[in-house]
Amino acid sequence: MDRLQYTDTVEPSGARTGPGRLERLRRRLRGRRLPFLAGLLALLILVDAGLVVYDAREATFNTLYVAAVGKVRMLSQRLAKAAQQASQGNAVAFKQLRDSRDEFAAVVKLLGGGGVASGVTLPPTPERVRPQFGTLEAQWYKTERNAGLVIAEERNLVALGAAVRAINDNNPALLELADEIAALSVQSGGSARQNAITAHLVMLTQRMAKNANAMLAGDVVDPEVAFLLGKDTNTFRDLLQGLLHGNDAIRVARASDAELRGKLGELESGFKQYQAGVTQILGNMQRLVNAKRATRDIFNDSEALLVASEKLEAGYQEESENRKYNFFALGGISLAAFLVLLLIGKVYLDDSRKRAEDSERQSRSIIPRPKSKHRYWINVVGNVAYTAVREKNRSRSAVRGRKVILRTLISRWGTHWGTIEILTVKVRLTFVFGWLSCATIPGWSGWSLKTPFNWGKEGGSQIVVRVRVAARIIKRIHPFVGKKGSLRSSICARKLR
Amino acid sequence: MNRTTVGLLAAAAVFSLDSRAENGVSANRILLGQSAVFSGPAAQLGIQMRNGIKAYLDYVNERGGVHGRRLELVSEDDRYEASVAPAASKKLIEEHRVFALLGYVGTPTGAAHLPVVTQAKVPLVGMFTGAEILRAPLNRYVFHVRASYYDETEKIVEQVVSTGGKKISVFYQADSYGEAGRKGTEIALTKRGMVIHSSGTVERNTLKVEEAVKAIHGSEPDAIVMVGAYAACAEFIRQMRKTGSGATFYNVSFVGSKALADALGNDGSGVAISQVVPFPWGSAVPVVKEYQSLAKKSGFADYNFSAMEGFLTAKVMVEALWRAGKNPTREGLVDALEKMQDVDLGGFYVSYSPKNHAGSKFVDLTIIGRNGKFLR
Repeated sequence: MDRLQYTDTVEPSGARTGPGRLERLRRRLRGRRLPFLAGLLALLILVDAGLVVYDAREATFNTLYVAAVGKVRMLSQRLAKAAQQASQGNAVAFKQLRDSRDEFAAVVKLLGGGGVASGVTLPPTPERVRPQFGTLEAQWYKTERNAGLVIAEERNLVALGAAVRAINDNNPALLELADEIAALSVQSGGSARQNAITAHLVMLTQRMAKNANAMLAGDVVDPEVAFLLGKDTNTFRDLLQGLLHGNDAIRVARASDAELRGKLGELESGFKQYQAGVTQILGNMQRLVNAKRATRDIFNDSEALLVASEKLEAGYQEESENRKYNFFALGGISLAAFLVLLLIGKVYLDDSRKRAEDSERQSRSIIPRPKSKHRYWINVVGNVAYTAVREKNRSRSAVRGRKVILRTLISRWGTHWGTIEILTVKVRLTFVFGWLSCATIPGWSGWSLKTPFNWGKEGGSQIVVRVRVAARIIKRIHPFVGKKGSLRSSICARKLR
Repeated sequence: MNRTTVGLLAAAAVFSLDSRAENGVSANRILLGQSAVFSGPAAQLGIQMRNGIKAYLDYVNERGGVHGRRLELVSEDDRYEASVAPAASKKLIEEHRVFALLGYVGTPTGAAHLPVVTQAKVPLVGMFTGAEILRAPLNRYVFHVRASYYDETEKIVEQVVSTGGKKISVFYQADSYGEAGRKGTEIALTKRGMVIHSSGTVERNTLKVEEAVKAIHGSEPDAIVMVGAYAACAEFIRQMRKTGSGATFYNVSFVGSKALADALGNDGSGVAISQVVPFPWGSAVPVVKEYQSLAKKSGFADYNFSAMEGFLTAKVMVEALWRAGKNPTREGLVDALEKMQDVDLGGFYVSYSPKNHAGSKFVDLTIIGRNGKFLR
């Protein structure tokens, strides 16, 4: 019977010896542990988020750097190609050359000093990649200066291209004329010297054209080509004038044949256009030489520029590999956050268990002895249900839960087993209805079981629900209790006795 | 022996006695003298000149000489030093007793030789120099075969101007030769309303060109007219190229074209040289063809401009000796030379008169190509 006197089991708290200092501290800490952990978790998540943002930023920058260097690589080759075409007087190539140079300069400026690219404010090239960037920059300044030299000569180079084209257009006619004159000189019985000179004129028309083309097309101006072009033009002029008017210095006598003189006149006027072209080329010789030299330098340096940009790209790639440390940090902090989360769960569970224990202790002290026997038993069953469910919730597995319930029932209510049985039968009558009600109750630890059972303080419907719940619990554990001859039942019987 | 034969012999003896009165001419030979440079940095000039002369003299001697007399050449080294020169000429005239002189080399040496030669009244044909001081005033005993430096610098300036050159500098040897070239350039430039852009000098027989390189490179000329000998010019060109100069180099003929090209090696490409004799590697000109075959026969197969000039000089001398008759005298030789009007030596013409001893005004421009070969 003493087991039923649970109302008396609670000792007045004052009678207890107070908890130790340590215990008090722990309690106080325990009370604040949750907010502290929550704060820590929030901090870790914040750091995590920061890392993610930082890493994303880094990744974006690196992508932009690499994209920019890729562009530089392309431009280094485009520039060389355009410069070569430009130095041969190709007007279209100048636009390409200018564009390439400007784009290249913009990219170098962006990489060197930072700026807005694809809507992102890109910082200057990081310190670790600076040496590679410095090499590229130095190479670029050389090429930029050379490109500037070529571009500055645009008007001249285009005009030169036109002059050479004019020479080429004029050349067949001039050759034809010179050829005719040579033949005519022989036919008209000209002196050996005169015949030699007219033959020489034929050769000169071809050599001048050849050298004019060689000068424009070559990637450098051969000094000997320019020299010969100038010399041939002078020689041609002197010989032609000699044949027309006579010249003692070069030992040419005035040609006497009328037809020959007519042809020489034609050749003279044809040569004037030719000479204008040559004069234009030679008059701009120094510019042409400079432009060609700049072009050749651009071409030669394009390889170095390409290599430098490749090295720079490799530098950026290396830089992006440093991002793996970001991932490590991210992983570590996430793990820590997860652990904190688990800790929070544990603390929370501990707290709630403690609270439950406290409330149980309370409930024991507050359940009054009902007046009628019927009510008393309802209370008893309700409390059994409450305790059993709580115990079950505390344990993890269902089977263990049942065992716990059983054990609880046996340990606390073993002497009243028969009563429970009876009550079970009675409650079963309302089971169908109760089942439906139970379905609406979310789990065993639903609201209705949060507080100890107390008939006198609750409304009728609540009681009904509690009874139903209790009935359901009993029904659930019944197989362990009810089967006669089973180990459980014999244990129960022993205990009951 | 009959009387006639004896008489002929006696006549011959008399003739030979007569000739002996004229130094260097004997019954079966005529001794010719050459004073030139055979040692030091300009040695190639004298050596090649002599090779050219010998090539033609060998040929003439092989065919029986001139009027039955073999032509022999004795050479003296004046080391291209004006101080040594008078003694060299004196030795030729007084010691070797040469009949006539030919193939001299150099302006300053020439200027030192001339008083000796003029005083001894020995004809001198062909000086490897175009300096005006050796041409004006007219010297009765000196005959030139080549055009003057003024002709050369005129041609060079014309070429530079027509190839777009505006700034023309002069690098010259600090003596009468260099001065002649500088003056010629100045005259040609003045004619075109231009002035010498900048200038630098080098001492004869030295390679100290640093000062000149500094002075001329600093002014960034388009073209440089060079009046020096090959060793110094090669050094100058090399140093200029090293400093990154883009100027075109023009040398006057005296530089010694082949020697310059050899000295420059790969640096020679684009160096222009004015020439006063036909291109020795082409064979379109008859005299060049003749020169090539005779030089080869004499064992001087390394054709070059200096030897070509020596060859032409020898040819003028031989032609004059033929014209001077069977009993040549120095005065007779001079007269014969002065009567040589428009003489064709095989595509190369010389012309002398009592008022003109210049001989030729032929100037051609050549340039050293990529492989060290000359282009014209």
